[in-house]
Amino acid sequence: MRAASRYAAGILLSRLPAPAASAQRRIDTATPMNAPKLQQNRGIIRRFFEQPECLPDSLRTRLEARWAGEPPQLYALADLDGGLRQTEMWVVLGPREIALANRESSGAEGGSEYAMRYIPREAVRKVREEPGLSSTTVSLLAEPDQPALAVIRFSFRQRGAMGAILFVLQQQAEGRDIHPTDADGFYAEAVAEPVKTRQGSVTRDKLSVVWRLVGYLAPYRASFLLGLFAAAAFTAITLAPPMLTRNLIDDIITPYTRGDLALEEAYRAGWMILAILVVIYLSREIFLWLRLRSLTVVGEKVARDLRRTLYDHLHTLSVGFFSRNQTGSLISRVSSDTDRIWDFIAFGVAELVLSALMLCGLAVVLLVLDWRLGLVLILPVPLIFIFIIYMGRKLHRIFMRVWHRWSEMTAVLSDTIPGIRVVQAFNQGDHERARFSRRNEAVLDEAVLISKVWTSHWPVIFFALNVITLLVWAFALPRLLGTADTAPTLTTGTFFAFLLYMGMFVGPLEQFGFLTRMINRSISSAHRVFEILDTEPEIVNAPDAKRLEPVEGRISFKDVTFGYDPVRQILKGISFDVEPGEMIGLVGPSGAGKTTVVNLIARFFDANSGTITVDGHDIASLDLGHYRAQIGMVMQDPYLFHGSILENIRYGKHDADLGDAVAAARAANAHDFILKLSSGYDTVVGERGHTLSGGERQRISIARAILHNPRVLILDEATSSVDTETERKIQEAIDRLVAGRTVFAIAHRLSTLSRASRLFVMKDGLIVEKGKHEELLKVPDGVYTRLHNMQRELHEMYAV
Amino acid sequence: MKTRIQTHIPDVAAPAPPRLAIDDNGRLYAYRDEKPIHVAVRPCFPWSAARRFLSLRDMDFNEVALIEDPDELNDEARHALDAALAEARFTFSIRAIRAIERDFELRIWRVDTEEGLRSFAMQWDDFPEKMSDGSLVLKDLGGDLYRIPEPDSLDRNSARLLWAFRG
Repeated sequence: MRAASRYAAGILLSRLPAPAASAQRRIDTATPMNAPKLQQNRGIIRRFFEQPECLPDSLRTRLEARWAGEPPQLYALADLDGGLRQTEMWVVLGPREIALANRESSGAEGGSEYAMRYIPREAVRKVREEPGLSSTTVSLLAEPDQPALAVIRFSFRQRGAMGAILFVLQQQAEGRDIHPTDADGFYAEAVAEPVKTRQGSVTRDKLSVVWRLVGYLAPYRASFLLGLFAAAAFTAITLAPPMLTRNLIDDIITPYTRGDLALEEAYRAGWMILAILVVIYLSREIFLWLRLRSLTVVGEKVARDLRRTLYDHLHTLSVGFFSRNQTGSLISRVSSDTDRIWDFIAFGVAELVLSALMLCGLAVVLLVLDWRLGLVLILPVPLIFIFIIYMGRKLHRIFMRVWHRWSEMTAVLSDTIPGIRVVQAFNQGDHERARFSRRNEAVLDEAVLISKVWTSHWPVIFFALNVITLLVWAFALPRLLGTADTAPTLTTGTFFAFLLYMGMFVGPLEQFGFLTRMINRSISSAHRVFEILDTEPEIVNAPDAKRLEPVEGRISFKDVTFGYDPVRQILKGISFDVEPGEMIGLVGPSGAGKTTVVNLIARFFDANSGTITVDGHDIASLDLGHYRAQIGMVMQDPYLFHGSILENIRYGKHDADLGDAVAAARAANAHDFILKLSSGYDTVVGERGHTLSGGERQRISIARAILHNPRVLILDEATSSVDTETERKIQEAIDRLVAGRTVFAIAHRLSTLSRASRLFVMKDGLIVEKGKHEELLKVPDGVYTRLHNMQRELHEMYAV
Repeated sequence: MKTRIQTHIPDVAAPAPPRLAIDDNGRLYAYRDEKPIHVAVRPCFPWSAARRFLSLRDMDFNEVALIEDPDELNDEARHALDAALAEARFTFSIRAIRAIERDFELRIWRVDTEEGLRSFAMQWDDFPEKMSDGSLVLKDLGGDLYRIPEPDSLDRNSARLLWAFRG
């Protein structure tokens, strides 16, 4: 059964991306979920799913009465009936029985009537799941192929909650009793989890995210405040020139043309105003420079801090976290999300302040200049603002279609360019060109639509501004000219200043539309960054972690169970003791749990139950970093970093001297091929070492392990996928590497384990056979014997 | 049963179709040597050829039979298979869209389906997938699928809401 929640089975479940390890709880936890978290989960269920947020009280009361006051251990909603219509059937796990409560009708006083069925828990010996496209049918069985005790149907939404119940039943059938104690918490968490995962573990409140981001500005508050001051000063100064223009016209030009002002006096005053304008324009640009310089640098520093904190934190997270999250998504959080935050701090904040100040300043100045004309100009502004918002939303809907088309088009590129060899080998160039062309045309169609809307947007806004201009003229003209009975009440300068101020309205209004999108995107980015920062490492050091000096390599498993998801157990209670220096071969079919065993030895995960000890100490009590430094791994697909071969060999021991690096390479049979490269050990291998062959990369990784000198060595299919000659060289290198260490080697080719001290044969999460090669072959019909015979036959069949 | 036209493709024989029956709980049984085996239907092409090439799998996911064309089965078997197939291919079928609301990083769809009222959430940048038969399929956060069989036949309000999401 593959229930899609990491929540139910407790411990470390990894199928869904998990926002925070702190949310992970064991199914048998004794601590009920705290009330705020429960309320949060129930709120999500109400808002997003409109399904019951908990077991109805009437049903709970009825069941508790039947179970002598004991509460339900777990419950889940089966939301589909036999005809696949929506229904409300509760599956409730009690202490000794399972209750199936099918809501039939509303009873008296608004209550609900339930048709009840009860199944003793011990009667369920098997659980069969049949997943469909969007629903799951589960049969509870006493025996396989016998009529089911019950058949339950539910949509995928209910898988997490239902998975927990089925897990408990399966465990019980296998003789392991689990006693869940927080039914409400489990149900609410399991249903709400997908939403929380996508929205992140941090608050959804945008203001809180902004405040948290502001916290990162604290070390640079002086520069930040300086930038804001410069932005405010820039805005204030920008409002001055029209006012001075008014003075120039009303106080100098008009009086002079009327003859009220002498020429010399007019020149003196005119030059004075021009000088002030020069100072204003100069200082305006200085403030602009100051604002840009301060805020862009602060933005860069905050982005640097976020990137560093984020990257540091990523290194503390466990392997499980990385298997749950896509690499591309994590990289984009460190790169493009922090870049967006920089954009916001460097430009967004200032533009926001500037636009708001500009609009307020304009309103004040215009009202002070002439309140009646000011009102004519200001009153229509909200209407233009509403129009801009309306257009923004309309454009957003079209943009969504364009994004969709665009992503379809780029999907062709990301498909075909990396796979160009396949395209050419199958002569599908024409097909792919036609596919791209179709999607390219689709982008054009939507882009044209956007252009149509967009281009109609500006004329409307400018027409509205022109109408306002005409209104201003219409109101101003009688006051400018006066009437036969009254003198003019509006000066030419004031009117001219009005016209200049009008032009300033458009910019801030447009900026608000743009800033809304920018702020939303930046907050989303900040949210994604904080989501990672709030993820707690699943594997952490114990408070008084021990350092084993040295690690001898005695490793024991006792009744260890482990599963990545609620129901499917990968290891089902395995036990073994390995002495220092032993080489253990792990063999068995795919999915038997071999890799899981070595993952637990490296403590990439913690066991669900049972204990793992190293030299007699619980693995969880050891200092993680120190312990991992004693472990070496050679994987099937060795990972080389971009850098020289020398750097790759010295990856685990950066200060190793050159002689040791060469010796390690010689021992790994890598020395000769390295020297065939013109730059020898200084040859830079590309990303993931793609410039080398698989066998060459493998030998470098073995050299790395030899130099690292681990006490416990893990070989995971180290010699697969290479030719015979390369395999011989790698095998030779491995033989040198394993000497004197505790080794766990996984191999499908049994011949590569001929030197193993003992073999552990695994099947379905259990160690089914243990012993030396010869001993195991003596077991007729044994798993190892069958595997051995099969490989021998294959070898004989295809041997040349 | 049709005989496969000889081609260059090596023929890996699929097990022959057995007798089929369905029980009161809607569970499908295949009979081998008169022994009932509970099987599940796995359509090979659930979207592009839903009623062809149906694989019947036992509890250990071993293939019990591969039915190329259910119409060639007898009535009882075809009826049983169709019922099981309906379950295996079940998706919610959207009749009308009441609202599409925005939430942080998500969109909430409130819809009328053939199965009843339903609300579900999708990531804000996820779009419906257009299928070869012209229908649209939406996948929610929990993995549930919602199908709009004929997007052009939706009512005016639903069509308006859906417009921005149609590819």
